[in-house]
Amino acid sequence: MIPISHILILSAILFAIGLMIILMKKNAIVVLMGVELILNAANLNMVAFSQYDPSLKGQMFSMFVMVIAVSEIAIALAIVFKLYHHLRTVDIDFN
Amino acid sequence: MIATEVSAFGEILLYIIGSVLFVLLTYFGSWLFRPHRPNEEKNTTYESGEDTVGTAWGQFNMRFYIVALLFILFEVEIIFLFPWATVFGDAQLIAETDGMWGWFAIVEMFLFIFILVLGLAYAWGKGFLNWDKPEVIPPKVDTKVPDQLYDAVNNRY
Amino acid sequence: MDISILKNIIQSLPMVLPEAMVAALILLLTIACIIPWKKPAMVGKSLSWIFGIGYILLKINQWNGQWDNGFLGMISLDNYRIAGQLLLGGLYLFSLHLSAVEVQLKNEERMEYWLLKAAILLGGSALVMSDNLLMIYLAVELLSFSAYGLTAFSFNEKGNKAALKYLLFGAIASALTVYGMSILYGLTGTLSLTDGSFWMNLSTAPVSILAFAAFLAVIGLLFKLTAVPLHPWVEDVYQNAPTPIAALFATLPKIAAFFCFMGIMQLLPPLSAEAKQAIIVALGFIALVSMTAGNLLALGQKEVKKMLAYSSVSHAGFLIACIIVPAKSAWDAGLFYAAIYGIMNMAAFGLVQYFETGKKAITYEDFNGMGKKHALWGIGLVIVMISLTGLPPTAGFNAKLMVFLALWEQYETTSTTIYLLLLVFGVLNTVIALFYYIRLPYHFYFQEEGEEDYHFYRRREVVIENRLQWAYRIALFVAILPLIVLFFAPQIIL
Repeated sequence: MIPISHILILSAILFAIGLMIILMKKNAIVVLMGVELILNAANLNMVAFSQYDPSLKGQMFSMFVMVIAVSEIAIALAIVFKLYHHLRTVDIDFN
Repeated sequence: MIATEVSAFGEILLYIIGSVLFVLLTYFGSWLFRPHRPNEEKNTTYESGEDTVGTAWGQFNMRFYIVALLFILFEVEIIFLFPWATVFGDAQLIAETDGMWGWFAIVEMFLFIFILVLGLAYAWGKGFLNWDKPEVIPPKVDTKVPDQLYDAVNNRY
Repeated sequence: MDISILKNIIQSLPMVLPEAMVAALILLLTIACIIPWKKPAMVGKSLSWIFGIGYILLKINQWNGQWDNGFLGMISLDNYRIAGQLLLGGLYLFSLHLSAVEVQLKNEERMEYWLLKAAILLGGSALVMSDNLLMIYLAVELLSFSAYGLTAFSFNEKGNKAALKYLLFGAIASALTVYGMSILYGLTGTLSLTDGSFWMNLSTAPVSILAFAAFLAVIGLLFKLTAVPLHPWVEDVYQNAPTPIAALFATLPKIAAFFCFMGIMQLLPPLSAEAKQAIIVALGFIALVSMTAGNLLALGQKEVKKMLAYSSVSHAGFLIACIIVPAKSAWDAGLFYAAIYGIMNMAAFGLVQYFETGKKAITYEDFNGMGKKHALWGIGLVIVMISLTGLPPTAGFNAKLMVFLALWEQYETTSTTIYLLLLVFGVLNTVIALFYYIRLPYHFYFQEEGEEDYHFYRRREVVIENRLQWAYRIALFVAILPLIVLFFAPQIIL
């Protein structure tokens, strides 16, 4: 049995990496990758914590998170693709 | 306490170490034996001589994205079938609820699948699944030599 | 125990009957998307209206019902929440009307447009009811996803840019929310907010972790409320989305998030006093910054829709101020404020849309000297702007007054500084708001139209059909009437 602190540290590292990517990268798709990392960190937390919960709610939550993450990416890619048609780039400068 | 037996996670760790070592050793071996004589042609991205042009963006047909996205959406949504399957056939639950549980669960799942199918029907009806193939234009050569002669040559050799 | 689960689920089905109606509308519209109609606008519009009215009727039917927690503590329903959902339904219908008279983008002929709007109503309605972290997350995402799609419905470069900006903000906010929720789950071992052990375990949790997790977990709701750290998308999205959509964004998700927040705050009592105090101070600070920053940013805008966007940030500050006052008076004030806010923002966006379509008026200067020709519209404009500022004789005044009174009462009973600060800043902000709201009627009536501008307008002017003129007039009347009536008789809502 892996102690829960290991998993939590891993998820905290994933969270930090994701946050750094979001803050530092310019490419919209790379930013979305950072978001995915954070979501996965949360999933890891959920699954790890649900070993103390006999009703396994955390695992259910992580399933929903996965599905929603995929839907989010689907919408994001559609919008990014449209924008690429207009601008020929997907870098964000927020202007 | 020192465990004398390797645990299941230990095996995975050994496996990871082994695979990393394998790759590293192979690279090391090939580095040891190969000659090292770079020149300008060899250092290009494609050694065959193609020069790279532009960015790596937008070189794929848009249809790949749509089909891939649709596939992934449906694939991931199927995940909900797994927890459902573990409770659906629960004989004890069905017995306790006098069969209600089974009916309830199956109606729910059919609703879910119906909604998914509706999504697929939408994509289909809107024509996102049509793969319009590029029209193949057979090369036409303007020549005085009749086709039969070519056929004859092809048949002979 | 197992048989009770099934019983609970079946018993709670009537709670979501109105939502099931909206879901059915979404499914029907999906089918309708595939069929090649002769008049797609008619089909989408009439389906949306029929089911929207059905939703409201079913909600009225639920009023005063004996509702408890449903679906094993996923949702709960009481009169307060039903009132919120009725408000959402009304706003949805109003925005349907605005969409139907919006003639330039021809969005009414796209079935997906109606579909996504219905999805926003469903998400909002679910958010108001939700009592569970999972449910809150799902509802917020449903709201967001349809909103991302709708932002891009102006089909130009700017609209797409705004949609991407919105999406990135939303995605980041929701990711942080989920991370916070996962830690909350770890601390408490349950996702249900109504579960007693949730708050019990929270009060024994280490404070630093708890603060971190709670802050992350409310980011999603703050994003929907457009409170200050999460507001920068608001300008582009409201400016570049189609105007009926901007009107919907400015009202429906915010009010839904507000009612959800209210529901959560009602569950707070089991927490320790210090923890409650910390939450109130933190949220109060956010409210303070939101109302001030929103106002100051609105002051510098040249375009009317951007001004409305930032003013909605400021209004979000007032809504949060209602959230943190744990008293009956604040709940009433919150409900009243949310209702008035929704009505007057819809009216404001409707007016902007009218002048945008007909006169191509986008900036303040474009409104110069219109008072001579459009005096009647000007009266409506003045009333709406005065109400947005919060001056008598409009209901906006009552709304602000009620919030201030609730804050003052709470300050007197608890003598917590944050309430007094909020009160002072609220009054100051009302004064600031006067400048940018009244600027619009000022340009409308007292500024002379420049000579070259004059011809410029004549060239750009689009004649709005008579039928649509009347549609706009009726809509404006419907929206402005309550603003006046509720000033004299605020007890209608309460």
